[in-house]
Amino acid sequence: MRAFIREGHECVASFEPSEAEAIRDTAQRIAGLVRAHDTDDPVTLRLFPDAYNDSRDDAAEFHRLTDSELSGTKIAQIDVLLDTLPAEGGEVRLGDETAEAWLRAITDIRLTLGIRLDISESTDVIGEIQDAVLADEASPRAAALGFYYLLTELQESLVHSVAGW
Amino acid sequence: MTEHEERIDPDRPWTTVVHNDPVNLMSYVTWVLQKLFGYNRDKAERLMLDVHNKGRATVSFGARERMEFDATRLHAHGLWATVERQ
Repeated sequence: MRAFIREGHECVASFEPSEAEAIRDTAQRIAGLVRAHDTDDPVTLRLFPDAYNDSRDDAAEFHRLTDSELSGTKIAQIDVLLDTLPAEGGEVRLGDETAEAWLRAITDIRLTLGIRLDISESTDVIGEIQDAVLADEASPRAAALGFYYLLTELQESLVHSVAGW
Repeated sequence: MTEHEERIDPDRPWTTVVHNDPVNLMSYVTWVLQKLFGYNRDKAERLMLDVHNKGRATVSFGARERMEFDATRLHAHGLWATVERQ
């Protein structure tokens, strides 16, 4: 992967075929979770947080009024990513609006992986990858953390490209 | 404060609070606060650092409906936000 850089009015990156495939597969899986809206899945509560901490009734009412539209928004931004990331990888050029949809979509993907991988404030992602690979070269957790880390780098580069920092 | 008193004081401001999470990048949170609230980079970074260091920051205040709108926009950007009485 070549992370995003700004070129004029566009944010430009490029992806290996395996990276594009992994991102697309994960994005589609998360669109499925958003559609399913299983309230017993902690991912659902993270993507659709309670807006009131002190009143279950107010929190429930807020969910009732806003979850459906928020769900549509989340699926639409994942669709933008799927429409603009070729399955075979290669170069991606995004205008501002599309780049912002990518930022939000990658956020939802990272939030979901963060819950599945039990990421906390104290998680040392790189250190854990190194330890896991040393213990077992084919460690599934190392592979999953590696993918999470790739998305972190991608997100960091895209924030800077979009913001013009 | 009783419910009755709350009801007769409809102008008392509500707040939107952003809570810390272990996933969202500091740069992204700063950018979202600039984008949604029009804050300059210094102010957005100060609020982001409060979220990061203290666990939470009040990012907007005003009428309840407006705060719920802000919370929805923050949720659309993947930030963890709640609406609270000031």
